[in-house]
Amino acid sequence: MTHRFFGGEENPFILDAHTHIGASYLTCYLTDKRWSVEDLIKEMDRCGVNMACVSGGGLPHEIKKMNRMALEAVRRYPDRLIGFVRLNPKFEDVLDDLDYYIRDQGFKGIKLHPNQDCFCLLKEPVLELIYERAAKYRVPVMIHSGTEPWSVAGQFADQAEMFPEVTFIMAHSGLRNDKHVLESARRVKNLVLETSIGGVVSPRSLGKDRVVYGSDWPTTSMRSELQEVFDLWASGRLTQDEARDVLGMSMTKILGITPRRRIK
Amino acid sequence: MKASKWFIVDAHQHIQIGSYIYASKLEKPKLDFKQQIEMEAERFRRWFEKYDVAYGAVSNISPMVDRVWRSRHGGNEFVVELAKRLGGRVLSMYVPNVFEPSDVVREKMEEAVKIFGFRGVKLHPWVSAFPLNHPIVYPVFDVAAKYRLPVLSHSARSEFCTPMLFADIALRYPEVPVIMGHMGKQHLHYDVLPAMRLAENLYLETSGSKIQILLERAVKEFGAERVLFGTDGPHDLLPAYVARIEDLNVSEEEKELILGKSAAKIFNLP
Repeated sequence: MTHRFFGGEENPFILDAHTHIGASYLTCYLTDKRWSVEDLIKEMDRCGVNMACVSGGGLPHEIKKMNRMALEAVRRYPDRLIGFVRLNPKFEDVLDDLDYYIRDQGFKGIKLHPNQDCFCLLKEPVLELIYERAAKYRVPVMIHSGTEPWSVAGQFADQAEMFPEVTFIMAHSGLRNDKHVLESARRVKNLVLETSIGGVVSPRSLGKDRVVYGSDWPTTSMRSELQEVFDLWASGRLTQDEARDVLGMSMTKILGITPRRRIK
Repeated sequence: MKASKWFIVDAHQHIQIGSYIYASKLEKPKLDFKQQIEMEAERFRRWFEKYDVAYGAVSNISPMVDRVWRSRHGGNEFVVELAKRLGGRVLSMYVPNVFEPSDVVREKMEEAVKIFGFRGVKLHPWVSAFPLNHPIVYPVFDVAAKYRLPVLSHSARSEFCTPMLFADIALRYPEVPVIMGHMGKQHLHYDVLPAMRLAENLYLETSGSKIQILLERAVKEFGAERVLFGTDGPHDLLPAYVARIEDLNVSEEEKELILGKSAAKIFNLP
């Protein structure tokens, strides 16, 4: 059990399922600072992270600019970064953006932020159209969680039941605010929990490939969020196989990609 | 993590022994209280040794969640027992029952300090169901002010313990160091800096909050002396929690303060 950063002999493949360039929902109102793709790559290198899913982040009116930034980032580091397009269902051309980034530019996922973009899961009719296309393109949909009334665990499970062909990723695993995360996730097979801020729910309680490591960098310390997985591994709460899955292998299956190691 | 380069004080730890939860027929504990305390003592002893942590401020959860106490101090006694077994590493935090008559609350807190050696107070307005600045809490702060005891309270999105209620009670009791546990987590974090601006005796405790930029801004504006490291444990994520502090964009001296020296000052540690 180890990693060049955390010590030892073994060097597991690590894919951070949740990062941003620009800013994040939890930083953008606290600072004017914006993080570049070079900042992200530097942080990934420091922490031994091989690959990362990236979406633009920042203030809600900046969405289109964020997506362009994410596209430039992925073009610059195609072996390291996987694009997720941030969509606001209230935008008239939201489906055009979806097609452009997923079909034409090779992005591998969709990112939704009900709290910041002011829509409610199950109450916003355009989401149905987005999910239909997510199913068509076979891409996962990552959604911010833990902020009622917009996006809480029960809504995720209801939605996952309604769209069984779509893989939903609950970013933040409820943000340490939602006591129904595990129970809701158990109701369905197509709901994956992402660990940033909310912590690592034991994959043993859900089944294989249902929990994935993410940091929500630059909100958090990428290293600290990663260390939590290694701490659980070291203390025996995660087996070696479970830790490897959480750290990256499960996410490669969800994305349908081959793991690429660029960190020595 | 052994032989850490840091002097670490964990300002937020818990045991849970003696609760009514355990008293239910469905979840009756297999161990009696004495066995439970021995088991907890062993768990704490191993944890302190493994992670090289100097002190932990420990409270029992049971007196927070039990609406009617079954002993005079409602389970705080178990913290005293833990402290006896840990040789000075445990800083005992008393959990008062604010719903008892005010003279009883005062009397019990006096006992807690003078007889049992409690070093601070822990409140959990969310699970105990009272607003942090309600007059029923005044007797607690009266005694805390008399003995200069720090008061650590849970904060987060519950209406009972928003950061602004911390500022209100801290302004009323300027002699008392009031510690905002979890610093609003990820929901009331925009209240944290404005609340800190209002009361100089308001401090932050880091567990449960993950927003690096917020903590960096707090250190820059108020100084690392007003930030205390905590885990809400003890648990095996200590290295990750320390890594979070190490990764802050603040000076090494400020990291030292956060990880231990700020708490040492508040708790008068050697």
